[in-house]
Amino acid sequence: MSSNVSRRKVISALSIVVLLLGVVFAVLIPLSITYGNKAKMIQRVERLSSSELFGDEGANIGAPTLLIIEDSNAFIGGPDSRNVYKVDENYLITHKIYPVQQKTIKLVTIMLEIATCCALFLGSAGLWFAQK
Amino acid sequence: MKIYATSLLIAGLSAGAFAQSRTFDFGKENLAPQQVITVESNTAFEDFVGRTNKVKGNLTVDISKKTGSGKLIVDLASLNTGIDARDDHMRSEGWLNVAKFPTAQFETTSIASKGGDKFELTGNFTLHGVTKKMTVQATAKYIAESEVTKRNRFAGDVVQIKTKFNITLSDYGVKIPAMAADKVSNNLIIAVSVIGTSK
Repeated sequence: MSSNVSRRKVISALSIVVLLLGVVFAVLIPLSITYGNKAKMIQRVERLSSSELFGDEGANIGAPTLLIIEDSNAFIGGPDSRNVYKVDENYLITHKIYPVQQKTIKLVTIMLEIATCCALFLGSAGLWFAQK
Repeated sequence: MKIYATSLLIAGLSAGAFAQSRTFDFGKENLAPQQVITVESNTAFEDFVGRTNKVKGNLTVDISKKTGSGKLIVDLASLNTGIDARDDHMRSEGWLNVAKFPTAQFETTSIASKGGDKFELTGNFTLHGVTKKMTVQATAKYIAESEVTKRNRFAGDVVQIKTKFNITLSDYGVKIPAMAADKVSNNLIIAVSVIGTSK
């Protein structure tokens, strides 16, 4: 009888921990979404000394991508007509900035949503079972 | 400056302006900072760009006829994606196997002018020991040796070649391991921006 009671207590405690984790994950979801919304369509550009000679801006590094770069000094002017911002690749390298992709943040957000649902379900189920 | 470069190019490519052929070298050490070769992978979960500036090769052109031939060799071992572990995987035997196939190369079989500074390059692209015929669109800009080129520390005439094309890794016998299938695309975008000088 007493072992049954102590087992219920352990399940209750674990369920509460899982529920609390679910709450933490739930709080992180809007933070993740807000951070992801900072992403801008960015074209990384490496400015070369030959660029001046040939009258171009330099070599594009990849295609425009939704990235989060918070250091405003990395940007070369404002957005173009396609709302694409150019960013100085040399500045990113010099300052060891590895831009975060919006894709990555979206993946993290999806994982947080799944983890929240699982934690809340398991925590609730555990509490219900312990009190039955 | 753009107008200056373009006008020089047009002058340079005008019939009779430069009757003799010129050979441009892409592999000179002082040119390395100007060379940008990128490999771009886009998947649902992650995008990344690998890059290198280690290239060799040359281009011989008859500027009056707007024809020529050339070869560009890229050192794959120096590809840098910004993450060391990913670079190591890309170089490994299961992927690009750079120990056995250290370079990728494009060798032209024909160069056709498409007007202005636009050209169509047909040639053989070799990766991972597999060679396939390929046609790519490119821009080529030429500037004859001048005080401006010397001031920018270029020796002789200068040519800039830019091109972008897609490749499918599986066509070249490169298999992406299942564990990385969501992170590395089978279809890569290769972008080339290289400078060659005649001296």
